[in-house]
Amino acid sequence: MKLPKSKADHDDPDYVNCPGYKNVNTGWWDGSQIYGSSEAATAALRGQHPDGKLILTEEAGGIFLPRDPDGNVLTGFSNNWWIGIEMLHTLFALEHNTLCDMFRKSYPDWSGYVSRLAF
Amino acid sequence: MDNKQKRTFQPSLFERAGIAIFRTINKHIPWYKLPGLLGAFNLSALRMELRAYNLHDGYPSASPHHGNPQDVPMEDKRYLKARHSDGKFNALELPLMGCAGIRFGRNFPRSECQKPTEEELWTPDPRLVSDKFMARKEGGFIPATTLNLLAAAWIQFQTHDWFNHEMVRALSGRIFLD
Repeated sequence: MKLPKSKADHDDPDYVNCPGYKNVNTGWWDGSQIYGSSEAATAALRGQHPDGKLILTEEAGGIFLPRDPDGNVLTGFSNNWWIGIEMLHTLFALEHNTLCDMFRKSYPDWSGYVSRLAF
Repeated sequence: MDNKQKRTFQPSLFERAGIAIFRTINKHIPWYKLPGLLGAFNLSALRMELRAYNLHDGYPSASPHHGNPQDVPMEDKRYLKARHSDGKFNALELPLMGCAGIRFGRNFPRSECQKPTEEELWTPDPRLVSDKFMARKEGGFIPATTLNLLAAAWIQFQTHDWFNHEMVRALSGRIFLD
């Protein structure tokens, strides 16, 4: 079994006495597992939809999260993936898109880009 | 090593008074049994108390790591009201606080977390700890009857976007277990 080592953060000279490690995700409970930890990732997951919806694929049997050519799921954070986590990521993506539809119906003049589930 | 690490958050006199008052009240009544609005103020005091005394910066000082409004200008004013996906601008004075690519906060000050020696790190051996605590004892499998696998999925879903350390990708940087 191989475990990748955490990379020591050398940004501060005191790392010798007290090591630190950079967090590649946002440190907030901000839904970055759904929307990604960068503006570019969020834009890619939303696609060009004017209402800010997340991209989902419709297949025989239901609506699913999109996948790359290797079959890896495309979502905000997809490490340690398994069926249970896929269920919840799909559920929250569907909830996001349902709320986008609801807001569009109630507020036709809103810009779609800011919509995002709040945690 | 700095023994007196400067706190990023200092509660004001008024806030410290609120913390002290609710601490006294909470000896008799927990926050969730107080009337709604008072309970909300209690939660706010608990938040300030934890932030001031139980959350320590991963860096020796806020500057320059957490940024400032001059060096990290907000390119679009909509982030005053909308989330920035990089995690920036949640604190306007320290715009990089908690964003992707900086260190996570910690519950112990850095002065109490000196780097261990290799010997200290491997004593006790993690494998020994695992064998002692995780070994299946006589009597075999004990099923968990109060929760199912969805609980594990829910906990992972809620927390797995929280922190993930940058990894050494090169093969030479890996620890081999066999």
